[in-house]
Amino acid sequence: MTFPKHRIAIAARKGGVGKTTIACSLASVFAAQKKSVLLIDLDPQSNSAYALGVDPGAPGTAELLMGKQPSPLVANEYLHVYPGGPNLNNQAIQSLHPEDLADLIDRVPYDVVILDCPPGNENLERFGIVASNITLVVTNAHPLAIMGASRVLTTLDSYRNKERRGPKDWALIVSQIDVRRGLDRTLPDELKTMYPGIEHLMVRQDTNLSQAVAQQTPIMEYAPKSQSAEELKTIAKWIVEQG
Amino acid sequence: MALKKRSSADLLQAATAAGTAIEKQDRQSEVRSLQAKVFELPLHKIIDRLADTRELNHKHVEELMESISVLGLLEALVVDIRGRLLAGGHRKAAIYLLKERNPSKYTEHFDEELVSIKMLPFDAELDPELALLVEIAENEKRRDYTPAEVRKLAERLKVAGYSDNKGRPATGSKPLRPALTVIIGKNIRTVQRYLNEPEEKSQTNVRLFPDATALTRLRSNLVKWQKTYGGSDDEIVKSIDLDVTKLLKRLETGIKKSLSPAIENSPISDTTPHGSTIYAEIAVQEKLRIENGNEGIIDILATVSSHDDLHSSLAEE
Repeated sequence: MTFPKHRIAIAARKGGVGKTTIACSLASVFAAQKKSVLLIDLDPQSNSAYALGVDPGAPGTAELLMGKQPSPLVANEYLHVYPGGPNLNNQAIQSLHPEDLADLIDRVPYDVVILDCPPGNENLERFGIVASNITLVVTNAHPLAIMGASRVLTTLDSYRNKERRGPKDWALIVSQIDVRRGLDRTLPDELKTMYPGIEHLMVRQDTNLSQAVAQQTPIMEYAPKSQSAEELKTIAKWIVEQG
Repeated sequence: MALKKRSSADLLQAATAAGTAIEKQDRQSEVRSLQAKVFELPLHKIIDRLADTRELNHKHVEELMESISVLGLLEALVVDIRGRLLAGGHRKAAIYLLKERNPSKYTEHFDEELVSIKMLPFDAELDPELALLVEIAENEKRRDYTPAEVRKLAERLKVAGYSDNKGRPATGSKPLRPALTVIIGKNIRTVQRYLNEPEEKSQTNVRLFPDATALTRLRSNLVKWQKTYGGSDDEIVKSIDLDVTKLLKRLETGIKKSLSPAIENSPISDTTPHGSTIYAEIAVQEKLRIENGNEGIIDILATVSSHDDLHSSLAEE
């Protein structure tokens, strides 16, 4: 068995900018392409499992980190999930080395691993980032979210400069874009000027996305032809192109 | 007065500047959290050392398991930054044995499967030489229990259901004194004497000059190591081999020196340490000082090598 080809961390530092929605939807896109996907939720709020229609309270990422080898939950044939949960706040998990999750997913039998990082908690976010080969940094068109994203981007730069384990490629995803709002029209382009060296992707505001989460159904089952589904396919395509 | 709205470019500048500035604090906080002393690790995260220098003595493991099931783990295992075991192989094996034989006692002593550890700030894979030195220091460090410590242990054992009755113990009872002989590695008469002795004036256990026994023991360990690994082509092993040869030379001098005033220095009472390891400790600390120039590391190592290592004295003798 080899390393899962795509290990994608989704991070923002800020809450409520669409990390979990994008993580679950991207997982759904890869699964619809018949790639086997493991979604690992690092969020103590355990929203991902709920969004994909499986039990958010089942043993998951915390137990995996504790070496208990839980079985991932089955959202569909190609999409499996380790739920997050409050056990991620345990002291035993805080004591682990940042590379421990990277080691654990070293040989999992999946084509794609998606690491949904929590807001706020740098320790848990670090497990995800260090285990990824691609990190998607999510922000919406608001200065508070951009502040969080710039922290993550600077951290990624410093990891690469120190040749530490972690992603070699990353992209900025501007989410929840609604062109009726002034900042939503101008900020995406200005971000491109500010961060010229990286890929810029976009996921517009779309009721289909929030509805898919509310209905606990992966987006490719809920609205496979929606605008969001197309945008997420573009993101998936970019990831595959990075090799 | 109407406030002038700032342009979105201005807002972006302000937000990223603030984010980048806070990120500096993120770095510092990350460094702090990585340097934070970890005092416990989940059992499964404590991984075996890369090369074991000794076989486990199964009888010891069994005895230790008995002791740990009553007293808990008295002395933390020593690991490197990745949780690789540096010292405490018998204790670790005993904890696994306890988990297998008596899961409820195991859970009682190791809540959330967390085991006390002392983490030394280096990577054994990158510095196997230092790992070996730590192991030798730990193995060579032997100190006897003081009578006061033995009396404290006796109290804890009594609370745990051991009884101190005269004469032949009844079947099924847990006699205190034989249990103590196992724990402190002394014969029953010494145990009796300790329990009956009044408090005595404290005597320092630290001796400034290594005694010959400790040095010869260290020498024989090193010679054994050279016999096993000496001819290897591995670069790392080769470089260790060179240092071991140097250390052996210094040991010869040390042994000669400590043999000459042997009569004046020879231990008399039972409470004198019989395997002082100051020499090995000095070796390790010198190495750390040279390589890291870091006082903190030396402090931590000094703690590891402190003379209150209760478990190892009963485990790894």
